[in-house]
Amino acid sequence: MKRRRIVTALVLAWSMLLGGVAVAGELEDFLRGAAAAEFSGQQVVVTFTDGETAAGFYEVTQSGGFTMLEADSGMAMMGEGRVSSADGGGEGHLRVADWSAWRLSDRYSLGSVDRTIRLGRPASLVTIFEDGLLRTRMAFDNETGAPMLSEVYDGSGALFRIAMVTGFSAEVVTSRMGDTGNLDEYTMLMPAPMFRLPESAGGYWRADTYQGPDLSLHAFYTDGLFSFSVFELDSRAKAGPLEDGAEVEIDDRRYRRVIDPGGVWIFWRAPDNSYLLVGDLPPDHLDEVLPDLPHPGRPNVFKRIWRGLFG
Amino acid sequence: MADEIPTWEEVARRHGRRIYNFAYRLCGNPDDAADLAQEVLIRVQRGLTSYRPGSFEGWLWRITRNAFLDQVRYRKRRATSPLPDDDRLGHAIAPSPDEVLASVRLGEDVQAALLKLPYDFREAVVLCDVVGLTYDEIAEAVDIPVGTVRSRIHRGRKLLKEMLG
Amino acid sequence: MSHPGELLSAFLDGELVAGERRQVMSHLAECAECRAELADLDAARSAVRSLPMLDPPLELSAFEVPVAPRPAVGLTWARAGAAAAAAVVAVAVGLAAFGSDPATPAVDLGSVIDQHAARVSVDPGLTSVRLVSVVNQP
Repeated sequence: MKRRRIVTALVLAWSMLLGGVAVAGELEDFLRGAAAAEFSGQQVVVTFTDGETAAGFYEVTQSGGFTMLEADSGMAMMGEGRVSSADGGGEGHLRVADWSAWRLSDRYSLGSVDRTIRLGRPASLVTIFEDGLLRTRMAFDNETGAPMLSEVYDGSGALFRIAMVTGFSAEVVTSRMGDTGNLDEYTMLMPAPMFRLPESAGGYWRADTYQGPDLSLHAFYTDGLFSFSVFELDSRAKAGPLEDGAEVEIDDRRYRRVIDPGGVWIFWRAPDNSYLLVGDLPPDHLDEVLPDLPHPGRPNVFKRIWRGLFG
Repeated sequence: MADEIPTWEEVARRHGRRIYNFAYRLCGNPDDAADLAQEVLIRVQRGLTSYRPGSFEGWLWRITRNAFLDQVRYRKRRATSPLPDDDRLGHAIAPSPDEVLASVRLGEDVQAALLKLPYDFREAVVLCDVVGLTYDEIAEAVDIPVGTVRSRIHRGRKLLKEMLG
Repeated sequence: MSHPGELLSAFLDGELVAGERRQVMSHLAECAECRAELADLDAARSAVRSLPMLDPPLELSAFEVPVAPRPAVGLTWARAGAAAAAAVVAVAVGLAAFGSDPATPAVDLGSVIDQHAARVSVDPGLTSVRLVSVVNQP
């Protein structure tokens, strides 16, 4: 079901000739506008990877800097460094104490901005290139700035994820949003000192590191468009369903992978720790990121014993 | 931490508990399990000279398993201990007072059901679910094909479920 | 496919290759009988896995020397009880060598994704898509 898309330098050159290349700040403005937009509606998100398809259908409400998502499986709301989630297993409230400023990687450039119509409303269709490769196509509602459509392509030009607003209202019923005011309910994630995870990986930079209330270590990486978190876990930590995830080989190393409609989960055991990565990055980015993180492997205990015993 | 070289004693300390639990779940008897753990640690130390690169887990648990079977054969001659290779299903083994004590709070029904499993199935289930080995490691430890590991674990679990209801 | 039989146990253990796993999953979607069998197998597997790690008797205790825990331990841990917790301390310290152990901490995936989402929420971008993982954690 993958739609193949041939992207050549010619396409880029063509769009540049048409004067589609905008100043860098324009792309940032679209993204900021989408995050701040006030709207409600329904959304479909589908991710295709290696023949696996994950799809989800949601009610989405965005208002006052907060986004709320509701699905059959539960609900979640986030904004201003806070997240609240609830599902059959209970609810959680977390917030980050501090964070570094957002910026967009200079590997992204705005390809073209075209007029289009989404759900009967005037919208701007924006292409985003990454080093000459079509990475993303997005449609933003002109009136509200809401993200009506986003398509993400992988390194081979195949559609990897599509998120589409299928029902839209510029009216927001704010009473649907839960109370976001009481900060006491939130567990605080404190900034953590630097630890062994690298400062950058596959073109992403380590923006922040946190320490959860239970001393878990968490590094947040972003390139401004996509992001992922890496958690450093006990070497024998049980990762539940992730342990039964698909075995994938990247750079001759093996990882466990689970796909959900909005992102990817990767789990692996390294000699000293286990690691869990979760984020919305495309698969070819993942191929670049993982080799820069601690590698999977079992410690060669025998060698260490041998050295201990016999020098 | 990655650069620290553990001493043999450290490795032995860290293994003692898993080996003991392996033996305990197989024979259900704390004394035999303790004897076995000691014996295995001695053998592992001796065996290091003959170790060939490969799966350390497979190697370690092969030694553990062989030590266990040797111990069982020895006790069989002395006839003081239940035989793990008794394949009759439903053959109830009278629990020793120690066993009763130890299992009061410890899933005694599961332990009892384990002891009723044919030895081959019990061993595969314990290596998988108590020791935490992969199928490949179990295949190496027991010296059987991976397909047989798969089959033994599956049949073991089905029998356990029948017994536990 | 016919009933997957013993593939079901290997499925639970994550011991199938991707093709087999897909076959099993599509079969499970169609076959109530196999779903019931899977639940039975899972119950037996969980029963054995939740057996506590026992403390060796005193004469073996020379092998159990307490080691100070590292600061970097797992996330929210679901522990089976005091006995299991003791085993966790004993085995979790620098024991990367020896595979997995039933008495080790379980990662709380809900907490993990909430931590990610809390940080994500301060950056511009497709916040609603990023929230999807929170609602759809495995």
